[in-house]
Amino acid sequence: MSERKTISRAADLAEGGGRPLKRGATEIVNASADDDDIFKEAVSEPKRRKEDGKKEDEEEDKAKSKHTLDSDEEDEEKYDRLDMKKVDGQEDETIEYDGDTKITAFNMKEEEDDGHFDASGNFIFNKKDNDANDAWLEGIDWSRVKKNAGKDWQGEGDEEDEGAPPPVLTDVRRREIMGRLLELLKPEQTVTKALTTLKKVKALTPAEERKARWAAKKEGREYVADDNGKKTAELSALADELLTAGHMDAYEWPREKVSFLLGRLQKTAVDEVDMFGDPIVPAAGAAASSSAAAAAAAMDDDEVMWEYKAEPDDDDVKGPFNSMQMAEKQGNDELGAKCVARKVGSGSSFNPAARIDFDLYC
Amino acid sequence: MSYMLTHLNNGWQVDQAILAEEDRAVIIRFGHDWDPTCMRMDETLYKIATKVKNFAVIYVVDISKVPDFNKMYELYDPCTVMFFFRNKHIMVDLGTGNNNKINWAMSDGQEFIDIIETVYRGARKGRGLVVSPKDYSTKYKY
Repeated sequence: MSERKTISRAADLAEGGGRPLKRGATEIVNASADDDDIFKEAVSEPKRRKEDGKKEDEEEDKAKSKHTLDSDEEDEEKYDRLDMKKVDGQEDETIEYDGDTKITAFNMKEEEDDGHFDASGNFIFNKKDNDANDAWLEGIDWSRVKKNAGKDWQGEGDEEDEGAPPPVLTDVRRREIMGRLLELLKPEQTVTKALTTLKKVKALTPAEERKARWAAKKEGREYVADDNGKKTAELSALADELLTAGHMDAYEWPREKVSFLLGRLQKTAVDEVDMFGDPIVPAAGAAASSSAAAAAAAMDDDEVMWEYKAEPDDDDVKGPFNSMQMAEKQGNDELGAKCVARKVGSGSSFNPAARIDFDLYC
Repeated sequence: MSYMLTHLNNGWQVDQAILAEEDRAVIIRFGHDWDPTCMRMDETLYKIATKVKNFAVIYVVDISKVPDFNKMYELYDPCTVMFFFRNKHIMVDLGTGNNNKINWAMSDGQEFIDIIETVYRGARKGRGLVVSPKDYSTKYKY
């Protein structure tokens, strides 16, 4: 091994001199006899070659291209690496321990640390660097480390990832936001639309602004700058706050929906502490007034209200109840066989309650 | 009216329409634009298309131009409406005995919206079969 290394080192040196190393048969014999000699020879070779002149040079080049056998050089890495990303069938790791048994995932991730594959599938270890010669370090059973560490393993790193919990929006603040949105939005305008209109309105040039100011002064009223930038900032801030609080479609709420949601918020009992409290049950009749908005909002809010009649011909409409209550009634056989039900405000006709799966709406 | 509903012109488009929609139900009307039953159905579909656009998308397919699915879905009625969600056919118990499709023209938009909503909600909860709120078996009683 050491001999081969030396030769390749010599070859490197010769190449460094600007030409390929090539030795006769006798030299090879020498090489095996004495490493140091060959090293010297290799260094001195370029000099000698120069003296020999060009002719010989050309001859040798020819010879080299024809004969490969007389070359004792070790080829450097000429193989292709296997691209591990293209290897099918590898599986991600799932659990690390099943009880006491360590589970090794069906992939080559660990092995890739130690070496790599060539194109024909041979595993080639990386050259070892001898820097970690530590008896204690080598004595560690790495397969157990993670397990023994237990919970401490994910100590500091994870805290950063989690960060602060998402801000909880209180009903009071929500009401504030919606109130302000109502002022800013025009009928049937969503936040997105409002923002685009604001953007489209060109800012006044200084000259135009002066003119407007002057006109206002003439008429004796105070000039109010139409500050689009501020409005834009405020609108997006409000919508963004709703968005972070979990209303993912806040930007798409039309003004009507905002007002409907605001109305519903105001009708419900003030319940700022218990945000997971009982389902909201608006007062009867309230829902009917804003039925159009209710229909639009129903799909998004998963809060469908129902009313039912014990018999199709009854005039007595009971409700509204939310889906959870209806599911309960259905489960307790409170509805009866002839009971018909419909969604509040949807405009649909009464349908047999037996056919309605209230669970779907919960 | 069906000019306003998106036509799918080949099998690949139909497949993609069903495959690509991740969060909405896909409703496909198979039939012919010139067919009276289809015309009535398309009228209804067109009316409700914008109302249900948040949770459903509606396409129309000409079964003569795109015969690829005729065998698989047994499309021999003049007008067939089928429901899909995330590349899965959703069956609807309409009370008619055929849970695979609606093969008549519905004229009441709200009824159809109700069906779509049940399909959407059911499919999202992993159901392959949902029950339509209205029982349509009486439709064939004379």
